[in-house]
Amino acid sequence: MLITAVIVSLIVFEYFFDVPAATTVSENVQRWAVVVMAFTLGLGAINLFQIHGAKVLRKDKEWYLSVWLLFIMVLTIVFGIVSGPFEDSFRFLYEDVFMHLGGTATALQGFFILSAAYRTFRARNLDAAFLIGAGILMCFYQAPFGVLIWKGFDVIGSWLFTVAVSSAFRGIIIGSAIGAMAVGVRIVLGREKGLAGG
Amino acid sequence: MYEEIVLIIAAASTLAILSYLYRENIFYRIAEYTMVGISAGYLFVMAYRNIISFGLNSIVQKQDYTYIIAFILGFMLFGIYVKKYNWISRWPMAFIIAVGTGISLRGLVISQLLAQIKATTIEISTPLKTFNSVITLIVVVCVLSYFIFSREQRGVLGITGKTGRYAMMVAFGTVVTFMFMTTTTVIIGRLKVAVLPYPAYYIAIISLILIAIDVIRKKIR
Amino acid sequence: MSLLKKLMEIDNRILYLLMFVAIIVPMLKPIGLPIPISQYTAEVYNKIEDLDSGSYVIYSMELGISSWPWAGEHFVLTLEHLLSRNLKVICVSFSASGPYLLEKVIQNLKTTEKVYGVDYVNLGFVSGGEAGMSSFARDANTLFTTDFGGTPIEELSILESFTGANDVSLFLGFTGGTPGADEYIRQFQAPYEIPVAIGWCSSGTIPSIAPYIESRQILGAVVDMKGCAEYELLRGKPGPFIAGMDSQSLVYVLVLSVLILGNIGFFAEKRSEKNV
Repeated sequence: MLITAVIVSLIVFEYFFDVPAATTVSENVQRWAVVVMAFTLGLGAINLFQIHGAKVLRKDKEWYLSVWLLFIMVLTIVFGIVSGPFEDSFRFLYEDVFMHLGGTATALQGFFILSAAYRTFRARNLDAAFLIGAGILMCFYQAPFGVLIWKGFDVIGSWLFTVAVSSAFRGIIIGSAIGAMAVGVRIVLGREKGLAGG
Repeated sequence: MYEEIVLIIAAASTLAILSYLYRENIFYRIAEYTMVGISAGYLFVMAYRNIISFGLNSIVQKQDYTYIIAFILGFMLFGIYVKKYNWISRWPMAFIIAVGTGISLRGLVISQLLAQIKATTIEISTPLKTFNSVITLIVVVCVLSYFIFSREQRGVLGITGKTGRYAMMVAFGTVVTFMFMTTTTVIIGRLKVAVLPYPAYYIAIISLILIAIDVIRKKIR
Repeated sequence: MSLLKKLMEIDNRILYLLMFVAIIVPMLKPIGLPIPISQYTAEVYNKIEDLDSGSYVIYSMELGISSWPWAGEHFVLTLEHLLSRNLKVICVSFSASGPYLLEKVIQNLKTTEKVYGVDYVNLGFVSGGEAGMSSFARDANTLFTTDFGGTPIEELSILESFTGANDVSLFLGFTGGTPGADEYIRQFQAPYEIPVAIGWCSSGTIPSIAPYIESRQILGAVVDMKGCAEYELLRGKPGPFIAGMDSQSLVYVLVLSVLILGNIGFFAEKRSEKNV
């Protein structure tokens, strides 16, 4: 907690006050953070080894899929580090396989939203009515056919988006900024014990 | 020949994931595990490259030995995997959280607080702009009042809190609708690249036949 | 009433199939609906047009390789636009998945007059989130030792007079969420007063970016496929995104139908319960 408080105070202090010594230390700390956070990227792979390795050793349900996952992960790492990310071997895995898998997984969510819209978006109360009403209006605003039906959809939709919707999100932004500042002050004062497993 | 093989793999990958819309199946599970494995492997490779590029190169080429501290902190992170030495990983975690918090805090005050409050002031110019700025001020104040939990939302606070809630419902309704555009974009991309071109559409045909067989089998049962 | 009940209980898979049909039909038989140009896209385009020749532009890609099939052509179009204005483009990524996509964008450039290392460069991924952004903004030339391909920085003439954010005339970010507008404003716009624009963002994130655009902290944003279609029109290079807007229209017709149908059924059910 002391480390956290000192570093947060230093970084914030350096931003608002021009003290050369503080600037130098803060710059170095930020540079080290670039390297330390790079280490965190690799933690996921090690974690997967732990989890799926244990599954394989215990011969849990669908353990063969865990073998496949570990195999493909090691293959990607070996190709990436030994031959490099520009070689055909790595390209094949990342561009010709992963690109399609990742993209399609993103597409799935739209289908689920559609079925949610059909089954659960009911105007049970005023809140839901506002949500659904705004959704319907925005459909006419976003789609090109809306302007063909009535030019007013473009005008009303544009106004609703740039004034009402952006104001609501502005309130959320200001509120979350105040909340983040409060958490920052708690960290500096050492009262935020939940961090770093404390 | 290579391009055709790649297209077939692309189609198979795409349709394996999309088959989840019909029902969960082994093809989807294999595709899911493949995606997770390659993604984790890629991140590991990026981590390795960045550690070498920003860390090791700075020590070797620029003789900046202060980076040794970064390496020590980085290796201490691995303590998280050994129960007995779990406490070692708290130091680099505290460091990461501190740097992230400090850096975002200092920019937050000006960019997210002061600038946004400044933009919420009433602008007296044309009637439309004045009206819009008044509506903006009212909505922002109402949304902020919704998040006051230290007092009971009654009376004036109750009215403003409710208005703020309705404004947020309008905003979330907009978000939900807008998300359909992303889905359409993605599906079009998938179809053009991985399903419609030759010889990828053979995989699509085979998939449709498999689904039809499954539907008929269920109906027979 | 039984017909209404049937319409209220349509299988999810029928809905998914209808969605596919709504997307595929216009691809096979385009409708050609008009697309008005939004203010947000026009601002981004006009800013690029107004920049002086030789200005530095940061082209920050936070999206992954999965985005290539559906937005890759727009990324290439935007980079070509920047290069056609004789701007110096520094490609960088603050998300681990970005640099590979940047490589693909650069490989697909159709312009042959511009030279890598002189007119544009891919510096790769800077880890550390906002710490990385802050370090890059302060002194990018001492942060990097090589570009993404491993070429030493000293051999890249584009970086000879580039020190960091103070030399930048425009920060163009391509984001799907995080890192995104909040981070760009905190680390580039607020401390260095660099103009920030969003070169591409997903539709779901634009409502949360809109307050920054309305307060002029961000100049504008190219929003998903509609924004890409508008950009194609502004560049005078009609392409796949304009064609895709027809599918967009049909999908929204489907969404409207399910929203309205679901609620008609809901109110009809409520009324019949009251009568009982």
